[in-house]
Amino acid sequence: MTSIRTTGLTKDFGDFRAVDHLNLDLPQGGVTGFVGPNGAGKSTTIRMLLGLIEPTSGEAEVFGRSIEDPSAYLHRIGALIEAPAFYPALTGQENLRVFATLGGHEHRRIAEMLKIVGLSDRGGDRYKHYSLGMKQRLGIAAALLPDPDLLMLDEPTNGLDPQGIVEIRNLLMELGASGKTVFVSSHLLSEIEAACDSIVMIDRGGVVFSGTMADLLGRNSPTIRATAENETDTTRLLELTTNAGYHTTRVNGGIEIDAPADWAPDLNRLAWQAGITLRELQARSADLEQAFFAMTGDHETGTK
Amino acid sequence: MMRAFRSEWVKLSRRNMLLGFGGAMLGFTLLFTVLVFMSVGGTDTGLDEGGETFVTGAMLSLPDGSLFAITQMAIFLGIIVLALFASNLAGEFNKGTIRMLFVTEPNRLKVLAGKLAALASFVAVWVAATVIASVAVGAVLASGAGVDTAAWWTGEGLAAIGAGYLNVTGAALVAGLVGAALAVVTRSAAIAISVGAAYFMLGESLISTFWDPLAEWGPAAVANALATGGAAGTSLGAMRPDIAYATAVILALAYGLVSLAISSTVLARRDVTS
Repeated sequence: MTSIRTTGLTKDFGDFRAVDHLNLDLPQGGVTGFVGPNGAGKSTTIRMLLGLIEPTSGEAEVFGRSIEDPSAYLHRIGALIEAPAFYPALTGQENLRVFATLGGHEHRRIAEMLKIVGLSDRGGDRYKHYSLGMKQRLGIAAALLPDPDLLMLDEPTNGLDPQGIVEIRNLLMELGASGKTVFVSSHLLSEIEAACDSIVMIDRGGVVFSGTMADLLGRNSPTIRATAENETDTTRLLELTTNAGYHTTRVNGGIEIDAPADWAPDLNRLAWQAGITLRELQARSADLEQAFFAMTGDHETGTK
Repeated sequence: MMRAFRSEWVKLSRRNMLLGFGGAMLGFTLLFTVLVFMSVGGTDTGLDEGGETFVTGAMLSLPDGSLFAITQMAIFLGIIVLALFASNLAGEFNKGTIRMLFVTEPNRLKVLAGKLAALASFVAVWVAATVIASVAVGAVLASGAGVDTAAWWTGEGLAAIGAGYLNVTGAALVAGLVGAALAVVTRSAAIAISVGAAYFMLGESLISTFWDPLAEWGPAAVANALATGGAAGTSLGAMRPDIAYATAVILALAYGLVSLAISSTVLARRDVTS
């Protein structure tokens, strides 16, 4: 059973194509990360799924219901879209009361959600006096108000301190483990890697990867980084690794070898035998950042 | 729609709103009421050809004399209401809360209807408060100004107060709905309020100087005619509008419906990118 399915979903803003024939198939339950460079189309995709933007072409379903009729499924969704948006002159509690009343949610959930996001003692403060992290927490509380089956969060850890990031990460993992579907975009790739079971990576409006985190990381080879003490030995070191059959590139005064971590001792031995002293030898397993840049072609420095 | 109505009232019932918009309506009305009673027997400042008396004790002693002040300043109340509607609607776009509202209640027309109904009820409550306050202050100042208030409390006088309340509320809501339409189209409170207020205060009367027919059907003229009871209003002397009351009611309804149609069409169809 899928929670979100899109087929050829496309959105044009004038001549600019923000989302280009996007095909997604998101299972129910678990935490799925949604990553891509700035302007990749993540927010536009989320807005289309939430009925805020009409697609130019293509189809999409949420819980089996077409996005042409958002009222058929939005009651099962909680969302935080880009930056949290609330009424500055109202308190956190009053802001939640506005949306709880509009959505027909029980008002007792307001205090419960404030407690979950750690705002119990600041719920009576005006929103305009909140820090960025507190605003973010209130946004998550508002998204949780309807006790949603699907939670769509756009940059939920933005502005949070390290402790807040860990708390929100744990909360998302708990929600995912409880059977709810969490669809979360973030520019903090380490957070996505830590919290998500699966990942959807998009670039230039289209999906470049969709699958489990293990699948994605397995596609990218681990590397070994080595630097000779004497820089003139770098060329000889590169010859050694190339002759051993590994693809090697020069990187910042050293070399980077596409080789498994357990080959590092062999490299150390080979270098010693060749009379090369290594200043640095570091085995690095593949991470989401590497995978991200490999998939997106490193054409952007940002990741949103 | 009722959920949207009650949700909007969470915002409207906070102190800043009550003291801000409500206080402005009440304050302007009371100030104008005091000025009217202070000016009894004086002459116009020269705007009127022939120096006709601006307001007399006899005019204020009529059954509908209690409402003279509030009906004469209805256009100012209308501008305050226009600002209320425009800032509320445009504010949702500026703050980005519109996307939260539409995700919570996907039926956009229900959100709009609930909002406008809540704003209209807020205006109705405050116009009632201003009418009561204006009549009360007028009654207190009447003896000092040589005004006999006996006719105010007759059946005819009380009916005039009731009718005047409905007329002033209706006139204010016409301006409010125009403000809402401007806000939804421009998505800017500053533009909507400045364009709307400038038109109602100055624009229409300036255009009417060059093009007379506008004074017979323009929205500001219609709102003014509705508030003052139309051409048949008894207590207005030389300030009686050119538009008959029945015509004013029909045109006010038309302006309200057209404004509603614009707001709902734009809001329902436009992508929410803010």
